[in-house]
Amino acid sequence: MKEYDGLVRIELTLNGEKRTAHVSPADTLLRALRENLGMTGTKLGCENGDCGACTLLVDGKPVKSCYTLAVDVDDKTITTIEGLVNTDVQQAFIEEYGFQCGYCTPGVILNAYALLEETFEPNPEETRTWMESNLCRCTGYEGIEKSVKRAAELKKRAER
Amino acid sequence: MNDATQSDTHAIGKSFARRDGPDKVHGRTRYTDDTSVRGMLYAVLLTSTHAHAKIVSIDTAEAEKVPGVRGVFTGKDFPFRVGLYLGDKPPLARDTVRYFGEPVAAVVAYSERAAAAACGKIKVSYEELPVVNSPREALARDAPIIHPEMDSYVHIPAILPEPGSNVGNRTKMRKGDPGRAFEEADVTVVGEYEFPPADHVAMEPRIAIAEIQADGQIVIRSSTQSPFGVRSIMSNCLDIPTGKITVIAPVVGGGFGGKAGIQLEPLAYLLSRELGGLPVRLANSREQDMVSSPGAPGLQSRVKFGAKKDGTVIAADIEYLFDSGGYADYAVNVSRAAGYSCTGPYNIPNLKADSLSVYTNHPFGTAYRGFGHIEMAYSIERTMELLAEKLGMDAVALRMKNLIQAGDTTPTQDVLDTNTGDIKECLRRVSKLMEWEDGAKVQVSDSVVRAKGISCYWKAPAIPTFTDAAAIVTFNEDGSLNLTTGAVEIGQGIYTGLSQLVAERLGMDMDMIHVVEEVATNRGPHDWTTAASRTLFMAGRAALAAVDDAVAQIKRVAAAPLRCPEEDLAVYGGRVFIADDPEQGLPLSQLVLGYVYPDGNAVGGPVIGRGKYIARHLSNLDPDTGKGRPGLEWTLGAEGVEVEVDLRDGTYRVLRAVCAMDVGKVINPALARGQVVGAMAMGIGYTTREAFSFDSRGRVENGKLRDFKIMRYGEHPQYTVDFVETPQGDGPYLARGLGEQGIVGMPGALSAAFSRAVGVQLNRMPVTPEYLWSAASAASAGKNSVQGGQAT
Amino acid sequence: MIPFDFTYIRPQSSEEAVTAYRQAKEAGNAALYLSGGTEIVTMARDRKLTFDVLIDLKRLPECRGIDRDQGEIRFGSAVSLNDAQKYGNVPLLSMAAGAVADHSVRNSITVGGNIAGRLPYREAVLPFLLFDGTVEIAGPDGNRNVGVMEIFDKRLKLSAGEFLVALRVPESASESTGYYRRRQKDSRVDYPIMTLCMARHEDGIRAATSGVFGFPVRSRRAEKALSASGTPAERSRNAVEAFDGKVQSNMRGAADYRRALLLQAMEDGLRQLEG
Repeated sequence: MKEYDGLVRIELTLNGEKRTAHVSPADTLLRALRENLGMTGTKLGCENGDCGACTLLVDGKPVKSCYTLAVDVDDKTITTIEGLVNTDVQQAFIEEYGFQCGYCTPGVILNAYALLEETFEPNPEETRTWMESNLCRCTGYEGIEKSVKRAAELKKRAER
Repeated sequence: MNDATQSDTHAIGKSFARRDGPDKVHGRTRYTDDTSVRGMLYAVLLTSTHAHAKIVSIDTAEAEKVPGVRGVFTGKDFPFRVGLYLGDKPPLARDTVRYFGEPVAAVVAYSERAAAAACGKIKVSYEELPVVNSPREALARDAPIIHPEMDSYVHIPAILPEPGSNVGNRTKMRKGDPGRAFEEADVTVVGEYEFPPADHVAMEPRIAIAEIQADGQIVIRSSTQSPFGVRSIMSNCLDIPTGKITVIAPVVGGGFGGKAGIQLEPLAYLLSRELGGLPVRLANSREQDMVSSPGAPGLQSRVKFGAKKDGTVIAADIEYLFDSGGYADYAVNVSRAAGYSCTGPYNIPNLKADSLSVYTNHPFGTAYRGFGHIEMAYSIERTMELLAEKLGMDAVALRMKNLIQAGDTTPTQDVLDTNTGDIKECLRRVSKLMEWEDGAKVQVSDSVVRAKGISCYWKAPAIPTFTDAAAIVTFNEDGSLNLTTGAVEIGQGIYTGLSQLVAERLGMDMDMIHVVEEVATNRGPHDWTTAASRTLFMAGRAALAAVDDAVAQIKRVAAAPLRCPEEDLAVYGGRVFIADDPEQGLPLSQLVLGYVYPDGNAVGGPVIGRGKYIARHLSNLDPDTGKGRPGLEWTLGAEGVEVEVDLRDGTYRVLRAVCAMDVGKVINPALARGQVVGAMAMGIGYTTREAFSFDSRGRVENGKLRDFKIMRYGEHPQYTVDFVETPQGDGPYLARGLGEQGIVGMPGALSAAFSRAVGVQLNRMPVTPEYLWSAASAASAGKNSVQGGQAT
Repeated sequence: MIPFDFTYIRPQSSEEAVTAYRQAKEAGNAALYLSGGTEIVTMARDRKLTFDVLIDLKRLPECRGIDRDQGEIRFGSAVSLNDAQKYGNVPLLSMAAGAVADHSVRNSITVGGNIAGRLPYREAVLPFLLFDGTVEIAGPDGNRNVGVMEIFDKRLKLSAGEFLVALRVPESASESTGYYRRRQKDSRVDYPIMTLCMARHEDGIRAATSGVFGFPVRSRRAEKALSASGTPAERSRNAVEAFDGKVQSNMRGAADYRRALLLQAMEDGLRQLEG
């Protein structure tokens, strides 16, 4: 039985590396990343699970880090936006103008990345089910829709 | 001056990828909270649980004892009032709270958790006061006066508050002889409309980090659209010399007007001041960002049109009552803008309009995308629909009959110049794209109908008469160029747009142009505010002026080594050369930091291009008639939507949204489209679901994103955007502003479509499925009654 | 952020979990069982919920997995709503689980958390009510299995220290296509104002609803009305009246609208189930 009380030392598998953080059990993963580990790519939008700006991947699945306790993921693999470099998804979002202010973008990209890892060429309904988890106030979602389609195309091409 | 007559341009009209793309898609962009100042303290706010109450006492004793707390502050500590136009708001409530969520105390601590924990230990005791729930309630006789000390408030001359009442400003438009015209009218229609306050919901909540250096220099980092505005408002309201305040605006995660003006900055500064100038971070939670910080004002309005049988509107009598909430902020100017644009883009020669900003006990309103024009357009477009119905006239034909053109006068009796867009062409295009001629309503099945709605709109930037922009160009050893302006990147892609303008003028590659991606008021030139859809226009003109100034300096230095008159030289493609003998020239890299002769003599020195632009011919409005010129330029357009509604339960889908807008030259088509699409999406949300709901005591019930919904992926329609390019003669490469306009026509078009679908004129927003169901049920009950219904 | 500190405990067995709870109580501490945790964290933020100890059930082997076992399908309480949705053999559970919150959040919300947490909608319980499922409970007095209809009255009537280990439905639930409809104020990412699950059973039509009355409910009186003779419209009207509860009215939807939605759903459901 593990008990975490007061300031505790946890080890996270983060973007392929082992990272150590000192956190309080009351710290969310969002806060631990931004404040203890200096990873500011994951954004704070509502801290209530509603907006998705804090989305990252836990064992490959999109999870909102604002309601995830840091102490609850020390046995899991975490991917933040910093762990994605020049991927097809990121390339597609540039090509298809999938962002404007960019604040929702890390969360949107990670969610789209996970979708495309799990589903080859998702249909509109599948894309909708996943992507409605992220609010965007700037694009009206057209740029995001086009970017996800483009990303699927790029992935398909790469996998031939 | 503008060479955009050539069709083959180097950079204009091309959809360059956004320069900030790589950083944004990699999460590398640093917004205000992504840079921490070492040693910064954390401030957390406690906010009011009442909409209108006297603060009887605030007991901070337990809060102060929480380990890590450096101070607990209340309104008593800060006897100031702050405001952009009307100084009515204390940074923390003093004596009275005027809206649910008003900040009443602030805790500053070494950690955010300690500050939050201490907030929980503050005990506030309130004595509730009667709550004013709407503008009409606020204007009723014997209404509680929300600002009894209004006569002592400092305000700018253009704003006319009415002490002893709840009126923060009254704007009057009087044109022609409406009394006589109404008598001559063949038909009249009257409509009353309303909607509650709402919120911007920018994805990045507001945040300010303030510190005071030992020499008294104040440094504030803030997620703001107005770094220079923050500086001047703080200077005026807190009596600090302007030069002692530095404001830094990094990239902003969405503003939409909500981060214009003054926000958390004064309080962050005051808290820092209390703590010897130590850096203090004050960040809104999402709930505070929605309710405690200002949102979109609400409206109650009444519009009466008098028209001839053929549809010509000859008279209008208009009343706009803006729900500005507990404080005036920008709302006194929003109501003014609605006043001077009050008729919409229609040529109505006889007019009486009153537009008021009214205090209520709601969360207060500020600039919101559309700035008075969206509220006005909703009211006017609904009334056009009522008139069309009464006359039995087609909605498009009725508007065509009345649309304003160059040579006509606006409500402020300002003549529209040749830079006016072709709104009739916009409406023609929307009508075609919507297949309007094929019919506006079709029954899809027993209970499902599809219906279309259209609207027309206009908007000019609502800016002070002295609105300005400036730019500085410097160069690097490799001949590349740095551009500094006061424009903030809030999502619109301004840095890309400005780069394109500069690239066009100089024939340079985009990657030789470096735009400084942060505004610091002590390092860059002045700019009024990044808002009002004028930034590309004005900062663009300034940037081009700075480039021209740099070019003149380059030519002056190059004339000697190239042994020719300056006027024979051209600067293009990274070189300065003799225009009629291009082989003879020098690369810019050899000149921009000074030219060195073979023998070592050096001349010239660093080239620094300076450019500026100030709005042309703007004037104050006459307080009795409204006569004057408030608008820099009018962007006009038309929109249309098609909805599918199941009348059985009111559920609906917005199938498509169409916009045709006259924007002058389109600088970057993809970015321009993105702005319009984003604005249309916001307009759909504004019409259908974005509205605060209040309990019987004026308290907000849906102040969280769990309960206040904006559009989600999958709910978006198919978007069509078409641009008409009537040149804006004074715009940079003939471009006109467009950032906001896409939202302005949406409430009218959507409400028209929904009304057509259910067969009832819907004059309230938000238009929810329940509202549609209730209207459709009433309509079909009406049809079954003895009188029979009146279908559209 | 959560403005107070607490202790987080990760037990490796039900016994450890129950013991940790008891020890917390004995020390005068407020303890909560943590499953998905989405509600706990968001409610703790504004102090709607405070606690001294959180006991994490998610890794207990007995709370995990979806298995067929002795003529029943067993769902561990820590199964995520997405996993419950993807498991295709109980269509009504897929529909009910798949409509809660949004897809990303459903990776975190567990079936147990949805049913035994604080929010009143508890839509994942609807199929278990409908098919007369059972729940496995662990607690200070040992483990017990109880029929859902027996222990559920607006919420699971658990005693202090007890927690939900798993839920079971008979395998026959797989054979029932059932009927499902959910309505919200507007966006589908929202709490329901009307959720209806219906199924055709050898003993007649079964129906369970959430959103309308403020809690999930399956009413045998309403089912009697639905299974009686008469037009779908008549039977639905009688069924709605037969529910023991007041139709909710709040900012998400007025009572008359919710009632109309429930009526329409029942009518359409009857027509679909009866062909």
